[in-house]
Amino acid sequence: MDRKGYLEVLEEQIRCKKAIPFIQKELEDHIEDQKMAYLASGMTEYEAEEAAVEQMGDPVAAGMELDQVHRPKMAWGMIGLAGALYFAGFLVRFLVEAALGVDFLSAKVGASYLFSFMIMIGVCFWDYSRIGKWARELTILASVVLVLGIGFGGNVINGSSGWVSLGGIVTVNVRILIFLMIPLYAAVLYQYRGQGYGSIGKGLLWTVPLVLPAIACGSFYLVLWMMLLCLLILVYAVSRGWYQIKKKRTIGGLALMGCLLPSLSVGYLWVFGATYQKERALAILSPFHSETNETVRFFRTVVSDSRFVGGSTEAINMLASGERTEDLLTYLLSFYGILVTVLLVGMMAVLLGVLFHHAARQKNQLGRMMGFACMVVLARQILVYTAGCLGLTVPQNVYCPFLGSGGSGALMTGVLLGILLSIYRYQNVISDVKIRKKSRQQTTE
Amino acid sequence: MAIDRSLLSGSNGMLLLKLLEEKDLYGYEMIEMLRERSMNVFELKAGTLYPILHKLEEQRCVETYEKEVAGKVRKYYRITKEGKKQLKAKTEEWNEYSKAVSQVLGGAFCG
Repeated sequence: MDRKGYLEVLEEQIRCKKAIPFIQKELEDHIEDQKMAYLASGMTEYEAEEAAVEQMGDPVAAGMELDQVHRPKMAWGMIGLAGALYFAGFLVRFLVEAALGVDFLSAKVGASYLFSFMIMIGVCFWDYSRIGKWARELTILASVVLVLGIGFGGNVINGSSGWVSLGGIVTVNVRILIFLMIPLYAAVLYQYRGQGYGSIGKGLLWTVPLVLPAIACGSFYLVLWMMLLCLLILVYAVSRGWYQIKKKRTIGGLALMGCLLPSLSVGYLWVFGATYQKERALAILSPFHSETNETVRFFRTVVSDSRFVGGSTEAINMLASGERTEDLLTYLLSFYGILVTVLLVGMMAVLLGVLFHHAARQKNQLGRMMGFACMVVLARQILVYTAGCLGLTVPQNVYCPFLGSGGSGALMTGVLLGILLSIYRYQNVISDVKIRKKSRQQTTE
Repeated sequence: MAIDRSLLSGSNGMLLLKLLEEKDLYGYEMIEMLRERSMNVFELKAGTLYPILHKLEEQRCVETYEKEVAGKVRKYYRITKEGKKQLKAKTEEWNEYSKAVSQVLGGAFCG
């Protein structure tokens, strides 16, 4: 059997064809090493080639063994947990709706959760590494589409800009969808691996396409959030040793930038901002100030009235005065108590923690970075939402996965969870693009 | 002396981890080193070696990187903390097993 025949037979045993290129390269390199050794021992070219292939052993047995290792894996436990959380979110909404006798959008939200779950499964089967290849193009495209969408089809709903009508059939919220660009940003940074300080400059420059749609939305806080999240991703990339730079010094510089950004932003608002912006900035900076806004005071009263186990009549009566369909966590607290609320938020934290744990253990650096980016966005949504519902900060109308209502948020959650599951699924299938440096060790994990 | 290969199966991973504990190696080097150390008793085929290495990588016992040496890029394997832990456990298991086998065989010979 010749080299080509050996590799063909071996590759036929491997069902996941994506895994073949890097297996093939390693085996060919081995045959080449063995052949060189035989040539050095005095064999002819033909004899050395034949003997080297013979030395490889049985291609069928080797192919079958490799097939067992290099197969896509499904994180069934995580899918089950995500499904349980979607169901729990829907159930709480349905029960609150039934108890209060008001429209709490449970039918619409149920449909959106089903849609989100299906998106999650669909994205999970999609090879996330394709994003890595086209990250820059996709980032530019997404930025242009979102900015033009706001420019030509933008609507203002309840005083909030950033809504785009798609042919009058569906309206999407750019303020939520913009966060899907964060994993794209992580994939862009991946493309500059192995470079020097220029990579940091490029990384900072690539925040521009992410910030532009936020500017188009007219939201100062969204711009700030996007910049802070990008900086966080960049710091993580530096900490992973992706660039040929001094890590500690660069991380220190980026951290300083991360601290200065909010300070300068608040200073700017204080001098040039409108009155409501100044008040909001003050409320965010000093949430326990006695003059914090009415919504925060309301939430704090409801929270302080709730019980450890079971519903609180006082809290329920307060909430019954208004329909706050986005603040489901506060309703959960009032109707079922602190223990149930902590359990639900804990389940969300466990899901994110486990998915991040899998992403952080990836051999593939792109998977690790994109997993971190997805996790950061989802964690930000849950934390900011929870803090708002508990009266710890001014509510910022953040969509919370498994509790919020609306198609854009459902889409975002489904895509981000799908990417995390896809990273898990293809962990033994996809290999990194190699960094080749002379006599210098580079991880290709 | 010809050795029954089934005696070795299951221990290959431990032997490879032991070699990697000393230094990072690429596939061909591992086969050569194993052959030399065992005085030609363990002649591992590449078709046996790579599935074991890939399995160890899946179990996070080893990790890989590429290094260019003399104009040729090679894929090197490096033992991880988990790998060192596994090696320690497997070595203890093997020592216990071989001691028990020796005692039985020794007992039989002493009759």
